[in-house]
Amino acid sequence: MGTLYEDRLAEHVGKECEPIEAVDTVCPETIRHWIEIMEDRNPAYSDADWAAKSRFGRIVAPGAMMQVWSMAPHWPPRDLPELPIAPVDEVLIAEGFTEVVATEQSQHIRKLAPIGEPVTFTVKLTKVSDREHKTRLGMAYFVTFEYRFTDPRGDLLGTQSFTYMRYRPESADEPAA
Amino acid sequence: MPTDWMKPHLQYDSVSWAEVAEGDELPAHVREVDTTLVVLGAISAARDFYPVHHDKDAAIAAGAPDVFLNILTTNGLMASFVTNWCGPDWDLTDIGLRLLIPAFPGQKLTTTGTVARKYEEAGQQMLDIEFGAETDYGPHCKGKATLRRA
Repeated sequence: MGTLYEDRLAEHVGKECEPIEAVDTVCPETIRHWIEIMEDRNPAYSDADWAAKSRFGRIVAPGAMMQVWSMAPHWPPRDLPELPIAPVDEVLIAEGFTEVVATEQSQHIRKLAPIGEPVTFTVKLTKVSDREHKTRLGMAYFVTFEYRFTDPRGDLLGTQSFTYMRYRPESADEPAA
Repeated sequence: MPTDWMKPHLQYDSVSWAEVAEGDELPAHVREVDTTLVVLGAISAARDFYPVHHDKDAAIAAGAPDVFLNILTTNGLMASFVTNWCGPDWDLTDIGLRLLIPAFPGQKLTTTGTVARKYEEAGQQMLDIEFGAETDYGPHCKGKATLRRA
């Protein structure tokens, strides 16, 4: 059994937000704005003739850009269900773990989203380290959450897992001068 | 949307199962990281408006020397590094990254990769690619990608 706040962290593990429909439908313009930066040469993403005759049947979005569909609009602000990460951040910040560094990301790509279809996603808190870890930046907790992307039939497009470290800066332990 | 102008730049050929072997190295790829890449990667490609990726003052206030590549861009560059090599007859099924030193404008990002494993699974031809990207400051990311022959 952990400290009081560790028990509070553990309560949130496994929680998942309600499904959120992405604001933009998968479209060739957004895909092109991705591939022009990545310099991606795959015709599945940009050559309609090739894509029509391919296993995809039409242009599809790169799996690596799945998170783009989840990005919040700049204006107007959109009311979204609370993500399960928020209460964990709140507990850790209150305990002095104020700084954040991203440490790992992984994607599993099941099916590429075709143009013309909306994407729906959820965010689930999958793991919080059960004790604090000593790191070169300070004592830290590791928090992992997972996006899950689905198509309009509810079929899985892919998942993206993301881990960040919340740490208490070393100097924060020292009394103020 | 017209795309004929892009076709000369696309890759239609793929690496064949017979020609690839464990230990093969992917051609190294060098990309100049400048403010344009950092900002367009965040704002245009990824729609990530977090200020440290486009506002130098905000980046400095956060303890960084300059704006730095967002994770979506790093992940996209790594994924395209692998799939530009193998060609469109392969599906990228998994990609994972460990995030190390941020990439800042003025740095060259050099990406290298190796065919770590060639195997068959459930009757499908598979490759695991181990890759890494470095700047002058040291390793930016390390990771593994899995490809499945379509």
